[in-house]
Amino acid sequence: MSKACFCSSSVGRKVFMAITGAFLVIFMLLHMSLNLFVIGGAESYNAMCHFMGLPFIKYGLQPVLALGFIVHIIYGLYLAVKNSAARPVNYKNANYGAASSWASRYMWLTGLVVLGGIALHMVNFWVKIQITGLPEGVADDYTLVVNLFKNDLYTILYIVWFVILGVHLAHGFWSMFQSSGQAYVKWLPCLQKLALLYCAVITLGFTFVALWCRFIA
Amino acid sequence: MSGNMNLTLKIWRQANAQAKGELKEYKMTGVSPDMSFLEMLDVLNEQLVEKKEEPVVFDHDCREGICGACSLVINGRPHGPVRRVTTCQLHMRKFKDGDTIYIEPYRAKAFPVIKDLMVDRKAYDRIQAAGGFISVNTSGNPTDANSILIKKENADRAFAAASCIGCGACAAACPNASAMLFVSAKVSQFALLPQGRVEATRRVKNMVAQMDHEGFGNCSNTGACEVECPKGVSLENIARMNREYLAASFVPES
Ligand code: HEM
Ligand code: SF4
Ligand code: FES
Repeated sequence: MSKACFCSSSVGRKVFMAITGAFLVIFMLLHMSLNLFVIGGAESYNAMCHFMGLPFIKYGLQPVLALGFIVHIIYGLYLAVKNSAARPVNYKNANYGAASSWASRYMWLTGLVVLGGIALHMVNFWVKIQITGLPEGVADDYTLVVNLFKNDLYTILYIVWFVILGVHLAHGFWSMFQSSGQAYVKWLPCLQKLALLYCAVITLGFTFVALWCRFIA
Repeated sequence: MSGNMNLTLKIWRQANAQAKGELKEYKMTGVSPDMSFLEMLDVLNEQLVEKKEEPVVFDHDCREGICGACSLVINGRPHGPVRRVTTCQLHMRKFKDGDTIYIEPYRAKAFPVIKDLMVDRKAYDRIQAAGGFISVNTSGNPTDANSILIKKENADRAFAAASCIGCGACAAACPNASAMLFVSAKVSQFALLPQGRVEATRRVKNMVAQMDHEGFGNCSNTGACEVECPKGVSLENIARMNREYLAASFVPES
């Protein structure tokens, strides 16, 4: 006698957000680990880039990743629009801050900033490494990356991006467990610690690589 | 009298559902700190009636924190600044002389304003009617219920969920105007008990479908509902409802 299907129900949509979110959470950890190859120098970094360009990754796995992003972004923005429509007249003297965190209320905003960062990063690296080929005068993938971070503006932009990503995840990490119904009370203290650890590893890990390129490479 | 307060109230006045409302300012003098918030509004209304003005319309019934009729968003917070307290149990001693207090109705598409501070909360009744019950006649059969053993933990959790008074503060507090805390409390109070398991699958599906149909927003786990809920209903109920719903959607009803 159910009247709505899972996919178009509020709970179902949030489960999709949680699953795609979890997928992206794993992907970000993988991406961060791959970036660390830069510390091994040109040879190790170029080998990693070569591996990531192999057909089964480029044509097999990257479309799956793209789909994960697209579903996450479309559902996320769609839900944000629906949520603002659920309160057409807002409080004149609203005080949402008294009961909830900024990060939890502005997921759509931190999400959009993350999306902007992804676009910048695709133009800076991915297009050149995997599509068009390196510009003239750039010897290898390693040089491309290290050179970009010699520019202070880029280093700062990227670090701001990593911090905003950390804010998105500070709420998103526990939220995906709650949305999918897995946030059991007895796990909550552990989940909170895991969320903190995860956000720290992601934000600090990416930032470390950027700074390493800027000052040490 | 010493200790009495002078207050500035900014109250939402709206003649009817269609009218465009506005905040109007009222000065109150000599408010006793021992009054309840609603008594303070009663005094204001008496003064308005004497001046031949329309009294402020607001919901209330038991005035002892059990019926869920009172509402109000006071300085941006449903049921006011004190945690785990309904508006009717809030006292003026929580405010200071000279304070300006904003009093607004609950805001949600699914809770349209009827007049002034009174909103239509029948959406919650319809969600309840969609599945928040068990279909066997229990009157006169308490011995049956007493002979089924229930884990103490589950009994406690079901009781905590059942303490929801259906006041609507959760949806009013939620930045997304989501009703998840209420619906999950109603789902949980049955899901945790053997008598409720029989209809668990269709209950959660029908109640969620009705909730969505009413136009409430989607939960994004901000946790505002739990903070503002006068009965301290826990977010664990939302996680439970999500997994009940997930299971109900993929496992056929037995
Ligand atoms: C690497 C990138 C990203 C990761 C790892 C990530 C991760 C997550 C996670 C784990 C959640 C919680 C899911 C839930 O509440 O069940 C979430 C929620 C959300 N994400 Fe992302 N996200 C990323 C990028 C984006 C982008 C690009 C957007 C674009 C707008 C976005 C928008 C949102 C929104 C709006 C929510 C809240 C949805 C809701 O609770 O209703 N995210 N994200
Ligand atoms: S869950 Fe709490 S805030 Fe929501 S209706 Fe029940 S008692 Fe009111
Ligand atoms: S009037 Fe009954 S709970 Fe406040």
